Amino acid sequence: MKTKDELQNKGKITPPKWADHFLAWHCDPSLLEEVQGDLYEAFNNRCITSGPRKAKFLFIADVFRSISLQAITRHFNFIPRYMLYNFLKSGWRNFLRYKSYSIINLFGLSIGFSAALLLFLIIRYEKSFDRFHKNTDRIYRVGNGFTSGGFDELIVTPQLPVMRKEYPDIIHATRFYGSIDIMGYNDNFIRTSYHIVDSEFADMFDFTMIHGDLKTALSSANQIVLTKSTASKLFGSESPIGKTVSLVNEKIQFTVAAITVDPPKNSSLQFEALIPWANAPAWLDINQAGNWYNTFMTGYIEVAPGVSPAILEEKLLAFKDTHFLEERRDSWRVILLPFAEEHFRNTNNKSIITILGIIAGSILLISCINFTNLSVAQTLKRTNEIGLRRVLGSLKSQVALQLVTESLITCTLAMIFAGGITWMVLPSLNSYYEFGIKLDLWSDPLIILIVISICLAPCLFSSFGPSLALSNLTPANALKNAIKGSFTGEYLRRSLIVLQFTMSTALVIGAAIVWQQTHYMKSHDLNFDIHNVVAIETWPELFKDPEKAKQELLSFRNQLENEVSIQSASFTSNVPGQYDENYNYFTSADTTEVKGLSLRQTYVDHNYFQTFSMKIVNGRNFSPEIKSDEKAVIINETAMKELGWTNLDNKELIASGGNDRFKVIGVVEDYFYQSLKSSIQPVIHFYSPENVNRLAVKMNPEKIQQGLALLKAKWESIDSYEAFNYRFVDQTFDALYKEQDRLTATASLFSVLAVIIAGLGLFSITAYAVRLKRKEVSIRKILGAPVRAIVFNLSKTYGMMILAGFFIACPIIFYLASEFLEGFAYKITLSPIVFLIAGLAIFVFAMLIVAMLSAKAALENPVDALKDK
Amino acid sequence: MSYQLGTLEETVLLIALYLDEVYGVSVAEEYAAQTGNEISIPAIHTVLRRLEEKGMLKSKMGGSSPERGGRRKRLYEPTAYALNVIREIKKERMRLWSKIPVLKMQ
Repeated sequence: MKTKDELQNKGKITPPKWADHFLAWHCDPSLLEEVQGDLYEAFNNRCITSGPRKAKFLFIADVFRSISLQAITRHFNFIPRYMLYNFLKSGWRNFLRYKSYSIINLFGLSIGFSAALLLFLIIRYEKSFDRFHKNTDRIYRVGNGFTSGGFDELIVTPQLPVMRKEYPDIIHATRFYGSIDIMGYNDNFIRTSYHIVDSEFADMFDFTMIHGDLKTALSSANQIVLTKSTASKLFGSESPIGKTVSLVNEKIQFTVAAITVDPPKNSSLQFEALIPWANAPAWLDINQAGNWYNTFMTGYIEVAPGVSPAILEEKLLAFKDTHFLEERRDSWRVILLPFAEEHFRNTNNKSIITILGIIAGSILLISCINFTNLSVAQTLKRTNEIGLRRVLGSLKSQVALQLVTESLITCTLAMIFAGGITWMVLPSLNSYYEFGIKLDLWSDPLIILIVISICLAPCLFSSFGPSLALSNLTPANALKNAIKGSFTGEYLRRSLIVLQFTMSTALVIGAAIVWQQTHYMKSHDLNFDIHNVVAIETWPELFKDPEKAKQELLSFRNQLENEVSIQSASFTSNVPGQYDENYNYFTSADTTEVKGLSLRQTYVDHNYFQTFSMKIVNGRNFSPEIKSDEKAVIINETAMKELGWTNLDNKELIASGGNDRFKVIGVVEDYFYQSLKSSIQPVIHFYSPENVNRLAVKMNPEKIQQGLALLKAKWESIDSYEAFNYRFVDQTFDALYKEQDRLTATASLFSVLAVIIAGLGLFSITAYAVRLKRKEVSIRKILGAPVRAIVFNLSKTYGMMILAGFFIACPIIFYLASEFLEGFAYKITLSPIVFLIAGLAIFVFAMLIVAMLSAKAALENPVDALKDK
Repeated sequence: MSYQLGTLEETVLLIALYLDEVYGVSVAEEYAAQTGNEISIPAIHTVLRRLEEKGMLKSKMGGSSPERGGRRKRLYEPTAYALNVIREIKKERMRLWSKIPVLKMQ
């Protein structure tokens, strides 16, 4: 009959086989015939009316809609409900009976789970950057690539509007230029970082509006968009819409046209106010800094759907040939940098994320291995119970299911604890790493999915093996304890321990290397003295009468030299630790020499080198008495070396983009103006005695409070918009190592945790192994073996395993550490001492655990062990 | 007398009262044809079974056909009780309808 059916159906379209089988599996057998018949009939009808594709889809949908929970449960009838209850009860009793084992297991697992959860949250957060804009994938930041290699993310001011006009592939484009000014409303003044944007900013980026329309607001001049927090700082509870605010130093009045929410933390674009390009300050004009020479503009474009960036870059080669300055046409080209990767380009923290990932993954694995090892060992203890269950008629599948249920209980408990730990740790993690991670469990199905899979994976991983092995035993063997010593899991267990110790050794060595590198950078001689130097921002624009403030500040510098509490005071554009990214290309006036080079520019006065105790190694310092010093410069040793000079006789430099000639009067010893992560670049110091951007004051170490009071009094005597504020330069410098410090702290914390978890695992595994050998130990003792021989005998396998772990870890961590250190300009050399010390520490720690337990067994009275049956 | 009959149940019951062959596919097609809304066959199955539990339908296994892969269909038949109930419901509705003033209905 059936074959006839099949023959008939041959060549005909049939419903999907798997769905049909699934229906047969889940459907109540007494209803199957009619349901299946109806679905077939409907399928055939639909094939004719709506085509086979739709019919198949609807068939599958109907199969799933036919699922009834009651009908499915019949497949699990081999575990009656009361038995499930019994599993829970005996599982709970077992949990309580072996308290130390259970707690170790639970603790290890909870830590592992929370590490994995946190990692998942961090990675997802990092990947969420700038993803809240609808068209993130079609937005690119425009930059310049150099034929000599490398690229610059900044462009010249007129580039973007011209590109937008000439290339139809570009559907939107905006510049995003940030500046700082004092914003005022009535008598309320705040320092605001505002951004000047083109009106298409509103088309490209989707910041949530609280009030008004972004596009309209940015389309006409003298309108301003404020973020919510800026508005509330300035207006308090007043409604800001339609009110007039002013940018004090730019001297422009704006009407508040729209309010946005504050840019979220996972946005690369951060701003406090937006103003339309029509209000760009005069110096951004094409005749001034906004020409085709100076690159300092940030620009984004959005391309039409389906436009490939590579092809657009090709097309843009023509753009550079028509518009770029002639000397740049051969060596520059326009490049498009994906906006989606902006965050990683900005923070350069991809390696930190990888390292956190490795750490969390290792901890999860170590704790899962603990769980597996402990479960196996624990199950082996219960052969009697299992034997008895089998004798009383339990099925193999029932016994296996019992063991899985017990693992599941532990895993679920651990997951609940891990959830709690994550919930508690997250706020400090957020503030420590400056993340904005929110744990929003209920609105986030993905988190629930991850939680469940993290929970189930180790549980299944660890319990299927032993469960099957045990449930396959014949009841007689199980009752006779014949399983002891013959279970083949021994090798697996040992290799898992080796793996655990490989990972924890690697983590400890890794943390030690990271610590060493951080310490090396922080304690390295900077070639100048940053201690007791205070830096104050003294931009004239911060004062209500800038011109008067400037004069007062300049005379204040001279006045400070006579104070006992002050050793030296200097006005400068930059303070070490925060040098601007300000470069220009210089050529030597003597054309017979090498062509020239790009120099990092900074502006200082004659007291600068003295204030920071920097050494002039060649030539002389600036002097206010010598008139010609206005056009003099001092370079650093690196610049001198790269220029190939041996002396300073008649050396002059000519700046590109102008014809100014600068006489080089001195060379300062290379000093570290930035973190030791990057190498020292060639630097040029211009003499600018009238520039009062920042005041650096070297204090007399004994009279710091007195000095600060003096500065504060002076600040308050000048009418300013802000309260007196200062920073110690050494703190600024330390802040450069924030990322490094965080990494060190995290790596140390987690490697210690990893070692502790691995140690706990080792503890219970050894305790178990020693117990198995209790009789052997007693017999050896009776036959005259000394305690130390017994301890040695019991511990040597573990010693070998830990050594094996160490030897496997060394090459791995050596490779990873070399990769990590590649990112630093000044780095430690990897010495075997670190490896040895870390390895030794772990070895001693592990052996102490093992030896302690072995000694306990060896010191036991043999009678106690032997009378036990 | 109270009748626990949902809207869908009522519609399906009405269809069952006039259709020649009452089973999953036929009811689903008629439902779609009359109301313009698609409904899945499992949903009709559920309703038919529920109506049988309530004693408004009775069923027997009917004939098979090749397009059903040789499987028989369960044919439903309304009971006298169902007819009474549906009449009661209609009467109740009409009584309420009659209370609405004519003016409001315009």
